[in-house]
Amino acid sequence: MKGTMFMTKDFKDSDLYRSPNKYLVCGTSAPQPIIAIRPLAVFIQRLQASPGQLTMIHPLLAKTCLLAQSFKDIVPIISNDISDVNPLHTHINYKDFLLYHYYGGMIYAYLKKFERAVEFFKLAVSAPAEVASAIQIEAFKKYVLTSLLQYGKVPVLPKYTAAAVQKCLKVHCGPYSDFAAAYEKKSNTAIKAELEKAKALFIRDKNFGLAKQCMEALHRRNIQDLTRTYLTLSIADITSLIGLGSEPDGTRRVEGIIVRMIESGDIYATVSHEHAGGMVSFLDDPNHHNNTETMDKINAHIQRATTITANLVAMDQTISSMPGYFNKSAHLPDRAGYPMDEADYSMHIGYETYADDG
Amino acid sequence: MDTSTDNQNLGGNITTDSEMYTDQPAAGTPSSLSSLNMAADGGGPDNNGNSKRKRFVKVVEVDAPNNLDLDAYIANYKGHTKVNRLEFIADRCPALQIDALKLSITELKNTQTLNIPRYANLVKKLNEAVKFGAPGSAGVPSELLNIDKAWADRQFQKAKQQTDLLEGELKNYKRNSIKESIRMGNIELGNHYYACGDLTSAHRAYSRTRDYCTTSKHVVEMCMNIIKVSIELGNFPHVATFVIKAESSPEVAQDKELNKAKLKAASGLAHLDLSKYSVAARDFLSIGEELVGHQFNDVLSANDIAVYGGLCALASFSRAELKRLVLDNVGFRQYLELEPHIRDLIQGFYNSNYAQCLDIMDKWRNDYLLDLHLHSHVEALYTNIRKKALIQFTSPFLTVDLTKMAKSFSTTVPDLEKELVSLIIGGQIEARIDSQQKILWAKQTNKRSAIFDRSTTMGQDYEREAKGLVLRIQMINHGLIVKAPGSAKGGEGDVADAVFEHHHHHPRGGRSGREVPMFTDARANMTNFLSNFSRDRHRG
Repeated sequence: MKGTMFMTKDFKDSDLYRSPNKYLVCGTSAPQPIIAIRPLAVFIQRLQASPGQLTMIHPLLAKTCLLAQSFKDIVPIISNDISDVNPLHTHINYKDFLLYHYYGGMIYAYLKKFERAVEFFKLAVSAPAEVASAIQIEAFKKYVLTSLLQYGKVPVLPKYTAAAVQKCLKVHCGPYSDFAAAYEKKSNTAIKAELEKAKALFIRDKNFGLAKQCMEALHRRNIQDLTRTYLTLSIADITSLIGLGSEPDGTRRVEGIIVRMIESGDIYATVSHEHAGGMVSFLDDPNHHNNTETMDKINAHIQRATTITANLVAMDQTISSMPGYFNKSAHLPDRAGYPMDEADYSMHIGYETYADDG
Repeated sequence: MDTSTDNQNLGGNITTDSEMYTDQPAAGTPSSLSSLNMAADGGGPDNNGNSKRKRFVKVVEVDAPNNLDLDAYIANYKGHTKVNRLEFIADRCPALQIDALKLSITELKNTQTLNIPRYANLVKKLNEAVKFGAPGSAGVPSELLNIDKAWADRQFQKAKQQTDLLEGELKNYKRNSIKESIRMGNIELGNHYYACGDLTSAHRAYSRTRDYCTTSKHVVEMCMNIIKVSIELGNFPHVATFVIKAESSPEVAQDKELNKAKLKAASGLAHLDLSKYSVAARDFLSIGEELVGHQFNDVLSANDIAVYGGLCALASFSRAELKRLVLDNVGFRQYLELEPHIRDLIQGFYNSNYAQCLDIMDKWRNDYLLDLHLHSHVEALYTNIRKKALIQFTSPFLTVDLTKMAKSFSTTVPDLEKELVSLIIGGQIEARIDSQQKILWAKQTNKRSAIFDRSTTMGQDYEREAKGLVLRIQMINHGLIVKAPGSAKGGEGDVADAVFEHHHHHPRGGRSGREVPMFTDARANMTNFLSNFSRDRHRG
């Protein structure tokens, strides 16, 4: 019951705050990790200055949740994007950031919310780095597989991804890239061959489950492509078109996949058994975007975009009043023509602000 | 077997040079083209691209041409291309093999060729053809089957003497360093090599004149010579370069219209070879009336211009362009008159009479497969034309009955469906297939919905990217950067690291040398953590 122990303690206790590892160890080493989830979640809420602040408890909670396979309490926490990282306030270091996003991505992958999972893994991989971290490499492997599941292809990493990391990924993630390349071509045989080749590695990396899901998703993706070219198509034709024609139970499986896709709203279609073997009619998206739902969605988007833009403007102002910025920009060649007194003046202001802050 | 004995009996100079006979099969066959090609421009990307494409060209044997009248066809040409084309046909078409070889040997003898190796090679080929009993082999006169030793010997000697003479003269000019004489000497030497069939040497000689060109007329002359040789070598990237060079020099040649037209034709050939059909079509169409009388027939005939230009235009132009650039083109109409079926084909295509078009195309397919320049592009051009016909056919309709459509394209419904599917996936037709009732429905895209979808995804992307950037700036500001273990900050952070290091993804020890320091540090953290852990447990 060590996990609940610190519930009774004062969270603002400076000892706890400075060296929390003693308590953290209590949480993770409990025989039943589920016990630790609640207290850790509460801990985060009390510790955080804002919902977007990353604390050192975040990765721990995420890991505990994974161990306990219980995500009820963490979902509200990880659905807030991290927007505030400040080691001065929360004593975090880069590993906290990487691990939190790595575990977070795994949680979302477990919950089959692959879009979010891709985001989380991407944040981990593209974090600023001088050398590659093993966490980043593992995150990239999962990034490849989850993006295949979500988008059918691997989106290119952001340009600012550290060169050292990219180099390292090329060396260590060859089989993953090969698999992705085969997957993007949508040819069943090539993908299967790559999967067989990389199977041992995937199992070792504990990614084989995701890879198997990719295979299933491929059929769904192929069916989705068919909706663009066909209005009606018999199930037997679909089966042969998506390359399951040679399998004994193909048509039954395909029908199952189609029904599930209709249920989840991935495609709009009806299946009729009037004709022998069954006929699928693909329909258009019934949403005509003329309802309040769309309006609400768009308004919410606009609001979020405005907030971010305001943030950006504020940051821009902060940067433009930094002494370092002035020093740099004053020495730029195209600035050389500016009147001397103006440059002096602004540099002076900059210095003053800085000195006050110190 | 006759030839081999003949070869040995030729005596004197020829026997000593007998290697030449076998080593240099007549220039112009596809295999020798590529090998000569390599020698001509010392590698480079162009060369690679060229040979790569050539590798994929499989030699298609044509049973019999449908409309080809060999005598009439070949009478349009002169010079090397005549023999090249004849030999090409002989290689491809067993039905015409004997005739073509006979014609080519006679041609070589009549023009008093200096290219004796080629002559010997063709005679050998004719002998082989007769031996295998190709059609028409009964009536081959014996004077064609045997090498005319005395004549060959004479020609060979003549060529050799001429080479020595010209080389000597050139050396003399060089000693006196008179620019114009050196240029002329090089050109003469180039012409001579060209006549002997030694294309690489000819190319070298012509290229050397480059430094001695004093007027733009000389430049054009040099370019024309190099273009001529390069076309024969099959080095089309080179042709394109020199066409541009010639076109950019201010022209002062008297027959400047003719030169322009020739350059256009050469550029068209080059683009055709590089599969840039649209550019090739524009080149052929802008030739004008200058070449109607076969003025460029040492390379291609006026009929060829009509065929190449017409097919390329059909394969790459839109309907409006077809009307504006082809049917309303006064200059090109004269060429079309020479090949009425091409005119009918274009007219039919423009008037949406596809069955007729495909019929014409089918009829002439074999002929085009026997064309020296067109053969490897026939398939690509035909598929392009067919695709365009399909797209044009469906464009005005809301629904199309697939059975009727299959009939007008003389194909079956399943095949048509496959073709349509590939076009729909490629985004060339906006339609969907009702495979139950075999009807093609034009797709009615709701633009409003599409815009809504697009804008929401764009908004999401913006949000995500902006957030990512802000976060990144913060991390850099606060020094949250993945660093090599040596430079990592010490203190309490390290202990916390140790905790997090303990999970199933701890790095597997030293997979590559480069990562070893990182991993050893991780392992140190691990042991650190484990000792802490056990100590805590004991205490508890």
